[in-house]
Amino acid sequence: MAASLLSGVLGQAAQPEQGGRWPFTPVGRVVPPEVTRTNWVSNPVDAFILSKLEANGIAPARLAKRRTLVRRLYFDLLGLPPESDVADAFIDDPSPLAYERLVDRLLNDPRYGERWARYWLDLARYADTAGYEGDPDMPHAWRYRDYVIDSLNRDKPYDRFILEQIAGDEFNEIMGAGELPGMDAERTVALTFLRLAPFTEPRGDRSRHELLSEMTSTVSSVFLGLTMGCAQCHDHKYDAIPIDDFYRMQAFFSTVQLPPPERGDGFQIGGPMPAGFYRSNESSLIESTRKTLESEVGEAKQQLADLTRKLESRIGKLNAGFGLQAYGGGLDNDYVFDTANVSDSKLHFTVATANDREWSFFTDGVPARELNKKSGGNKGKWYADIPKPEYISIGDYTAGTGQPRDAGHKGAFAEVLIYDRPLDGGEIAALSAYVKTKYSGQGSTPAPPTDGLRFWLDAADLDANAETPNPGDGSRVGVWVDKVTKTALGQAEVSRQPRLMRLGQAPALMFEKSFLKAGIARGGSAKFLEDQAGSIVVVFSAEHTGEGYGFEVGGGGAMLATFINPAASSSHKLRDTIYDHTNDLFTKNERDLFYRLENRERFVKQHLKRLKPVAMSLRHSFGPPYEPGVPVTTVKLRGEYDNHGPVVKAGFPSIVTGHNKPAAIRLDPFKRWPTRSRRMALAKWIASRDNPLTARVMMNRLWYRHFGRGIVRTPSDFGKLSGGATHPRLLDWLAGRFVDSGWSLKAMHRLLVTSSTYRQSSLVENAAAEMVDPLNDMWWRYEQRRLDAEAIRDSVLAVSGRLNPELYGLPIFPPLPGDIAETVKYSENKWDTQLDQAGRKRSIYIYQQRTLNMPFMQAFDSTVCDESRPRRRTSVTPLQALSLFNGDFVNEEAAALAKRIRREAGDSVPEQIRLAYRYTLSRSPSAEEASRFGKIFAQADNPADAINGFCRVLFNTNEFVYID
Amino acid sequence: MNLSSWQNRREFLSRAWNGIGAMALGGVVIDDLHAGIGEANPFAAQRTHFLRKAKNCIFLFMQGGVSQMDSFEYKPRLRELHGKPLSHIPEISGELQGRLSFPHVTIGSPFEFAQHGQSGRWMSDRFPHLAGQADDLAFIHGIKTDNQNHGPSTLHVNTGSQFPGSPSVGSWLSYGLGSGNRNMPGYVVIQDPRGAPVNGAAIWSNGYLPATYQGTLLRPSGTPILNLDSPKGIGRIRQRREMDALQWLNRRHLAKRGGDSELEARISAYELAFRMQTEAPDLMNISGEPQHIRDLYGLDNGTTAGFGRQCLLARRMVESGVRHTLLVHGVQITNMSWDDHGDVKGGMIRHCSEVDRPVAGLLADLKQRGLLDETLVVWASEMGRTPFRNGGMSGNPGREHNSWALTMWMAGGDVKGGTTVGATDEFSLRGIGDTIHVRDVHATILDLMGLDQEAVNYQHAGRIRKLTDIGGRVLKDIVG
Repeated sequence: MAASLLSGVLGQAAQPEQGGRWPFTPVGRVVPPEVTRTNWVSNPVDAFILSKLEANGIAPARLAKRRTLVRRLYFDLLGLPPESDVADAFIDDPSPLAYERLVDRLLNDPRYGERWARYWLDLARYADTAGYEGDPDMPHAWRYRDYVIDSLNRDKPYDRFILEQIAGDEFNEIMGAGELPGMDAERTVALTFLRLAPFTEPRGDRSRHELLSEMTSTVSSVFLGLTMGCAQCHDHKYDAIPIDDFYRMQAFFSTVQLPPPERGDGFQIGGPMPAGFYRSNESSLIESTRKTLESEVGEAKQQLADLTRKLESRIGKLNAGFGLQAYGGGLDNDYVFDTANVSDSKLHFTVATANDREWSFFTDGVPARELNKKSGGNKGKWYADIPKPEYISIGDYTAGTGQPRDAGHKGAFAEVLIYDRPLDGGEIAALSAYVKTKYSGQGSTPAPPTDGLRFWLDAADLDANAETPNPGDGSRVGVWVDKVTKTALGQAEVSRQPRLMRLGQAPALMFEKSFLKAGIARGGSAKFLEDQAGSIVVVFSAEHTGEGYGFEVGGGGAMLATFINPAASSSHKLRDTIYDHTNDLFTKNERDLFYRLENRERFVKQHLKRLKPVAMSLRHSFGPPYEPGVPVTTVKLRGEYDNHGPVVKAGFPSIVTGHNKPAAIRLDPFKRWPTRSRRMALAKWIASRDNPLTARVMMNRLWYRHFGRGIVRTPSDFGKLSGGATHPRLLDWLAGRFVDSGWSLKAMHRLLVTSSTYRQSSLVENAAAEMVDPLNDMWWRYEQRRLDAEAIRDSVLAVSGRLNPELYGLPIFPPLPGDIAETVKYSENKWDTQLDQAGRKRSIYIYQQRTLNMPFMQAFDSTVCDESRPRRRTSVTPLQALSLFNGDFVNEEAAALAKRIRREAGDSVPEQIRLAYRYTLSRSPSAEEASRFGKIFAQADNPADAINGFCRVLFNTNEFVYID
Repeated sequence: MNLSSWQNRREFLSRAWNGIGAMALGGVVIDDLHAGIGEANPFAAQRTHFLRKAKNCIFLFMQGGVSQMDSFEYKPRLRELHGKPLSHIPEISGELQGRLSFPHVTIGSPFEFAQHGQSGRWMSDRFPHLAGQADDLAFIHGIKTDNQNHGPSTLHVNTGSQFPGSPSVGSWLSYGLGSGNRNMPGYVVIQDPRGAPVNGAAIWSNGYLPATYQGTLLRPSGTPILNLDSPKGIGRIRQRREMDALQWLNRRHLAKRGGDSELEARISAYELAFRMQTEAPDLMNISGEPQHIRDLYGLDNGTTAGFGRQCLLARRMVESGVRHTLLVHGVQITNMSWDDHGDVKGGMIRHCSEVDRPVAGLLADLKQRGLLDETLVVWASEMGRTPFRNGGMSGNPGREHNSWALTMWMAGGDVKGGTTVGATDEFSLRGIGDTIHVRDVHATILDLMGLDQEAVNYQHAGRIRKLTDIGGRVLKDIVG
């Protein structure tokens, strides 16, 4: 049999010196083998399958019924169950081409891209967060997800798809001594592929080594099915991939340049690059999303205020005064030490420690008290010790990252005093008295000042002449030295110059509104200043709408403290109260609504950031004199970034080429951009019809997804550990056909699903075949398969009628069970739970948070990728049963389906049962089934319960989650 | 493919599932049956490679980086040098350099050390209860981890790799040993009731192993396992009735498909899930524990109640045959973790008082029930800390990260109590002697569980992968 297959190989090209073994041999031209049962052969795919079956004396299974095929095809190509009318029309279609027409229809359905992009995203280790400590959001990753969906829907030739993702920035030829061409938006997005690995906390050379090595491994396994990554530390143990080859391959990536992280995003390894919205209508969709979001913020705030009032009245207590939140922040590290906030009607202070700076914040006159319970051993010290600040500035910051906030603030904020040294008893008394008088007679809530935010500095060695004219915008006030500590103070950023002015008898400094983000400061005059004899007294009063302000001390973007306004502080307090008293004072719905509204503004801001016309991309370095040139690449012994071995030049893996000569990299005519074209050289080599692996690997992936198992079992490893191919000639033929079709994936889908092999029944009806080939390696029947997690969720929603069919767009956040999101949150929860239809889009849009797998998806073997995942496992666990039978998701959708059925079927029980079967299983109930459930319905105390339960049962059936 | 020994698919599958009643909560993996990578029966108890006493493992992970010289490594020299820059600063390069403030001012431990037990084990006065069990503990000092930051090093200690995507210790143990019970997952995780560790679920991930081997996070309140309760408004009778309807449909479906074992497995999974609804919550219900046990774990004391409950639950897991229990103390990198950059004294006073009594209680309780012999208890953290102060010159000093000097200890099973392996220099800055790497510790854990590190492997991405990566050295000095 093997001989007969091999005899079909024509025109074998010369074998490479080393790689003389399949799959490193050229694909060549393969002629389908001769078979006896020619009428079974729908296309050449069948000839290969049948030839092997005939050689083993096995007859293929009969063709599946149309009712089975329509489900198979829908789930396979779209990941959704067929619409009932389409299924009926197909089943009744007398045309012999009915099946082919259905295939074409589905391949042209944009839901095809949503289904098949998921497989590619698994390979591309797609996620929306960077993983590790803090698991920071990658707000622009989703654009790559849409790029993949769109590319598949447009049947972008696979060779082009490769070039765009590896070298999207190096497409255009540079003529003469020309400038670099601008970057195309779509290809900029495509390059996100190279940046999707989990990475945080950049650490110089080491991180760069890891980044480039990850690119090398992933590109090799995804496009070539070569596990180059194994050769990062030593020669590959199983395949002929020496360590040198890994670094020769890595050298193609050596001029990669990541844009710098955005300000305050120090945990990220890089920032975004401009990339406009390029699909037709995309810009207008984005614009309307933006408008919706912006109006949503306003509504949410109003709703939160209303809800807060309502709930607070229930606890019978108004939270008055100040809230205050202090963070340790790094002048040389970035750790959040204390997020304690203290807020009640009596005391308002807390202490944070960072790098030995101990702070106390006074908001009223009550003496300090022991604080170490909250802040880790500050022992009640209540002065601020600022060793060497370059300046003090005020701005508003997002907790944790030092990222400036830029939305408006609201609410009342009174005064905060910060001292740079211990106060003596007299000073404490004076301040205490001051604060008391300030609030006496005002009840427990201080009246919000009407004036804007002011920031005052007063130090004796300052130029204390109040008559000094205010400096003009942009001129420098100078440096002020505190006479006690000799601390030099200066306003470092010219654009943020404070002005000198008079307040009462003392000089004071006023910061312009422009110093703050728009919407924070609203006019007004200063309230308070006392000459505190050399201390720096900072007093500000403000009207603002946000959660708080951050103080930046010492420069460099380090943040030390955030002050919380009363509105926010009361909500923080309320948050805890709600948590503690759900079920006695508040309902669960009220609690959830409160939490959701409370987080709304933060979440919406993040969504708005996601809408920026940028992508998580990269480009080549511009080279000297602008940026680094082409670095010397060395072999890194034992994979250690600083353990340099021999110098290597960029070259293709010798296991494929048979040699280890450097690759020819075609530079621009004047060699003005020596850093350019390296990745393009690699991409072109991969995407070449002469590359023996590229087409084979991709066709094997396609086969795997259509048939449940690859011709090579390990789709990203064509090496020795793969165990080889069951049908190598078939794979070769497919590869050749793929390239000849212009690398059209849709053409190949069509070919595979219209084969007789694909259309076989999945039933085990052939005892002889079962003996010879129990695992169906020869494909004598179709392999029954469980739906993957995405298809299960999508199908439940489709059947209940609640699937939101909207294509593309921002990540979605379906409801999570229980307190899962809360238990994995870092400083802030990232999961913007959507209870409405926004959260019921298809699963491919679910936010991929690396530290949080959605339990439902995880139970069914889906995972948020940390590394490239060539295939999914299929497990059967009681956890699946629990989530499908008891979980909120299925039970809610079962109720929705029941409602739909009652609406459409009226009170007729047989009609209800018929419709439930039709929607969930695409068939009618058998007589026995109809009668059994008819009886159950008739006996039920509550008809609504009966139909709800029935729908729940159908969603749980094997028939629903398995494709025949 | 090693299918030659199987007669046909049906037999292959039915043997793999071994009469499906044996299915543990972990479940079964379907396509590995096809893949044939030597794990035909993933849930059945596997034979071990060596004869070892330990059947179960409790892994105590202290998030944040426990200061070794303030807990278990006595370094009197640091006291002498307190407040002074080291005259001879050992060569410090790489990332640590960038992290340290200058000058490198040494700080001595603020705690008193004393010797305990027959073994004369030095311990700081922060562990008065654990000190009573000093002779049961075997210490490993000067362990080197691959990375200086919390994210990667937490992964390294828990999964053997500083990069996400590798299976955790518990996953390897359940993969290598199978499950010891039927109605609970083989590998459970009880995290700090205050929140999650760095990397979240990645530290109990199954990585590239099948999902069957992932850690199941027990919920801090309500039912211990997600969705264990029937949906609201559905009573037991209706639940049973609908389950019966489902199983009737599933059996009809199965009958047409000739008894496919995968479909059968799914039918059994529903039955097991139904049984678990009543059985599993009992395991988490500690209200029946007598007062002396509550006292032993410090359940009635606000400081110790949190970790005390975790430790008590761990004992109950061991009793019910759960193979691996991961307890996490500490929340990410907040001041509720051991990451004492500022005020290591205040921090250590708090953290130690939270865990000392519970951990000592757990060891004592296991011992009095005769379970310590068959339970390996491991104390771990992701890094040690520096002898130098962190930050400036005033206030209470803290300590920086130190990936060269992690201390861990083990107890139970065949661990030789009262022993020590590895050491650090007089400042506890770096390990001396043969470097002990995290993979050596992992090799030792596998060995103590009766597993050969080479034999517990999995083919993934072109390599035969294992917990110890390139192979670790079993630390024979602490193995009895």
